[in-house]
Amino acid sequence: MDSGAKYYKDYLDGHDDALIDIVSEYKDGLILYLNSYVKNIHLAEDLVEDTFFRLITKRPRYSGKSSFKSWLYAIGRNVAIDYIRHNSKMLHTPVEEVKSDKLIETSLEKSYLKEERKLTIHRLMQSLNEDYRNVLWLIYFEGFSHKEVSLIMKKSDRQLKNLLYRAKQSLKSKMEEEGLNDEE
Amino acid sequence: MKSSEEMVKSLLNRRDIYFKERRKKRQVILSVGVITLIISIGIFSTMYKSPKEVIKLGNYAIYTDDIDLSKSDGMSDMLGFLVYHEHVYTASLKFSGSTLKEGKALLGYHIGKTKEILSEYADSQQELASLYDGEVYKIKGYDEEFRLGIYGTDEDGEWIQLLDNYDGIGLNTGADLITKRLHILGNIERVTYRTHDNWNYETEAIYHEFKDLDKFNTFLEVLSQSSFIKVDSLEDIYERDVQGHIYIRLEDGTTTELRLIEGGYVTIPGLGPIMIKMNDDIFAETLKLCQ
Repeated sequence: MDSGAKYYKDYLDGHDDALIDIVSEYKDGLILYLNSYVKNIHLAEDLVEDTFFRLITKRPRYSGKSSFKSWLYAIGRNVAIDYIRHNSKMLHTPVEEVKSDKLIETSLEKSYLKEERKLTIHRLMQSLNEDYRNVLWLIYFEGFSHKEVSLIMKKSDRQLKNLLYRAKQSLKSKMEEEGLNDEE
Repeated sequence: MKSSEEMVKSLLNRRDIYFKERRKKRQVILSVGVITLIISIGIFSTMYKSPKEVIKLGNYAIYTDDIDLSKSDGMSDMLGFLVYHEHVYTASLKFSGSTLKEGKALLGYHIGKTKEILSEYADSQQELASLYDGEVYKIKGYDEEFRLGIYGTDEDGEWIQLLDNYDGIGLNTGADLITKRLHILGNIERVTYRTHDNWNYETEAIYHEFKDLDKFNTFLEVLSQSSFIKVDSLEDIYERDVQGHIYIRLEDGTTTELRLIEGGYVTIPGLGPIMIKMNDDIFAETLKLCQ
């Protein structure tokens, strides 16, 4: 049983303290992942809170077929997709808020990613399309296996392989434009 | 940004309020049920039900929101769109790989080429402006005022993207969508469903066959006669426990998804807070079959 699964079981057994372990362990990564869907760091944070809220009120069964982290990310993705589906027509981000949001996003990136090279690559990824950003984030920044990513993103193995290839090509050209080499 | 401790504090507060309100709601429902039963027994014989008047704006009870791409700052790059005759069509179904052949069979009259690939601050007035780079076609069997398609290619091969017009459209009953636009009745090839738990919490989609198509057709007929409503709080509805997700595949290869939510609500992707409200028993029966 991975640590996330253990924390979740503890929470279900009535230990509210375990929630702090779950939130501390997964909050920041999940915010950055959902930010790649909604491109608004505050909204991504709200969606992450809604994801945890879903866990603690609906108490869904974790079957253990995938890692707790990939299961949680798949739930987070559903929360984000649901939100986008029903709110995309109404969403506006006032221009004056964009600058301050960017500062917050940068600070979260710095604390989560730490290494300068990772930060640069992550910033370049923001100009890629949504699927490319997501697949690269999950594989290279979160360390999920291809199988886990295909489950989270609801793609077949073949679709994922193609997507990853195209995402890497796009990122490579962005890196070349910036004068960076593409060694992993 | 909240710290982990702050987020946990907020979560536990929300959880307590959530469970308190749920208990309260259950008590209210129980009390109302008892009172209603007593009153009903007393006055049933003299009760007269007047038909509900639908307040109409113009010719329709409800209009979907207008889509203004120039205001979709930061979000329009997620919204696959095409501008045609001053309406913004948004992405619905995509055909590629094994489904490409079905998509190609749908392509009708060639309208033209998309103007340019835009990501933000698109001009809603620019004819054929699109996020996609490709050729625009009418779609066989569908009104061009509702559905169009774009054919394109990329490194992964050919694809066809369908786009539907939900930009400020008027709706009265389900028929305005089910019959008039999507042509579902009489053209069903297969109906499947996913349980809400599977849709919500499982990474692997499990589809079940909806075997009783006669019953499902009855459901669709009642759905067609039911009214569209606009809800104030989507959160309250989407968080309900009993839900089902139905996928209707038509003979032409297109699929429409219906999400059934306890309380008689039926949502269709693309319509946001606008949904169909059903009161008939067939809704409850169909929702039960999706569990």
